[in-house]
Amino acid sequence: MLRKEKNKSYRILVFVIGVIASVTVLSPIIWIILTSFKDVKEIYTVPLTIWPRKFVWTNYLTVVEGLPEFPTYFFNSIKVTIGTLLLVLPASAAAGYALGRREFPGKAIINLFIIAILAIPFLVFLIPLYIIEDILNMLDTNIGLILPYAALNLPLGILVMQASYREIPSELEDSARIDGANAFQTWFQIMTPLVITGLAAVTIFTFVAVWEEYMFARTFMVNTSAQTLAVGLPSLRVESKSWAYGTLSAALTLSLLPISVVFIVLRKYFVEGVLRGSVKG
Amino acid sequence: MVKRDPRKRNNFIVSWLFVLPAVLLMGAFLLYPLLSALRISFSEYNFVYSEKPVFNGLTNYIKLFQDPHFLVAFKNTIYYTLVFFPLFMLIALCLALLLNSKVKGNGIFQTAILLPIVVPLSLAGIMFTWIFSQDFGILNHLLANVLHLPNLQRFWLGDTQTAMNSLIAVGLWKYTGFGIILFLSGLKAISSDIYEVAKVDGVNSWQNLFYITLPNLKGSFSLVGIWGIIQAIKVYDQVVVMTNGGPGTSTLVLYLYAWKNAFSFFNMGIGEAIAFFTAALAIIISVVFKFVLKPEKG
Repeated sequence: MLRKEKNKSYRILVFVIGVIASVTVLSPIIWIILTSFKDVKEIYTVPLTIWPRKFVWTNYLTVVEGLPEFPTYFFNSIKVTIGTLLLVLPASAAAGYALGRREFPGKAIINLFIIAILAIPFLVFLIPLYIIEDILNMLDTNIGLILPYAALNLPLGILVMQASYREIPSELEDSARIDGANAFQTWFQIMTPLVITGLAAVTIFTFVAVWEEYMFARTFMVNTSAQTLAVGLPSLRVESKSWAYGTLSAALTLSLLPISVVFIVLRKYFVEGVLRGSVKG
Repeated sequence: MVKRDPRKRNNFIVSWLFVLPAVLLMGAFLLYPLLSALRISFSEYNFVYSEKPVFNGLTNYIKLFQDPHFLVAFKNTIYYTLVFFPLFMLIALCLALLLNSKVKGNGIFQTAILLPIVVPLSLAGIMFTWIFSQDFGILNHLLANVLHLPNLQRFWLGDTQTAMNSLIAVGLWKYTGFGIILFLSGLKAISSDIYEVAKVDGVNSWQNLFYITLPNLKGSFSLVGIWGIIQAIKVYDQVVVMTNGGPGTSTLVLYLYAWKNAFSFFNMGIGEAIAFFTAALAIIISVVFKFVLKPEKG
């Protein structure tokens, strides 16, 4: 009896702490969203209001109509993210399959290289990649971000895919071979449909990594026309080096929208994928 | 040998065809830059004036330790790590232990707490610059008008006393949720049989925690710990957006100083030397961590 009482009050305590923690964590985002619906005058009126006195759309209209940079940044982010995924997904699936299920000379070296790369901070690659891109005229182009992002996200992707392919029972592969399927068909038609969760994990963490990447994008993309959201929005300062918070809160809300949707849909795979990758590394 | 057996040779070619796209990408954009980076770190290389790096041995590394700004950046990075890391581990562990029970709304709590991991740090930097701002920041407003503690109001990012701690708060906001999720999956992996046996033996909750749960979490401690420390050592994004190293040099960190050397002063050699120094720091700490928290074999 007593134990049950104790248990119940413990659960209520946990629930209350859960609510407090969630609200605390979300409060900056909620604050931005609420502000984006405020009239500009209200934003700069002391004392501040938390709940908008009146909900208005003006800030969003300003972003869409009066801020030509915003759609540029937005579509650059989309293009770079999709471009990176189009390279990372097939390349990590193919390499993960060979490294996870086949024996061949050179395999050990590739694996060693992947583990070593995961331990090295990206900063080390920044300067030589800048020089390479300068020589190849890739600065200020989408491809100038896609190629390094693909390379930097491949090691973790390959580790995850390698682990995924290894979990498939070998009978499936054997029976495909007996049926006369060649290696490519076995990989693509028999094995890959069974590692969709692995591919989902690689998709979500590559997506997140590319969407938020700042250092490389800031260094390689100097021109506004090539910048992504993570680099472009902070540079939208008005005179006196401060930000116009009305417009900016609307722009921030819009730029967090796609990534939040992807994240909430694929959350399970995100956690699973990073765990798999990091346990191995 | 390989050439004489056609089946073996075939296997070799097919396997390499599978890994070829990944190997080409990583070779061109990781391996070659890594070797080039090493060479640059041992060279005098001003990107604007000189065509090619000129080998100068260990000069860059020696110069670093005579450079007061580098020592400040090193000290600031260590300070960031020493404040960030214990708070990160403690909050993540406590919330993970609490959320490990079957409570209503658990899934929603976890999604909410993990959400900042997808908010780009540079954009979080804008959000928090505003929250911390002197006149129109919500933090000062709450302190003065809601909590009635106007004495605690600060120019958070403009004050050398509080600027770094404000940046640490942003880092904690962004990364702690991920630590919680990693700890939670470690907690789930502990077999419930152990707790059943303990229950029969009449073990109380505190004993449960200290004699069963925490010792069984060693693997997670090493995983979360290494991840957390690396996030601290490579702090960069929110620093650039919120303070850019200032006021003075109070928030100058290693990543930022490396970047400034390379892309503001065009001293690629010095920049790369700082990068390798940071890499060595991260690798040594990870290895020590792994060694100390090695799970006992049993």
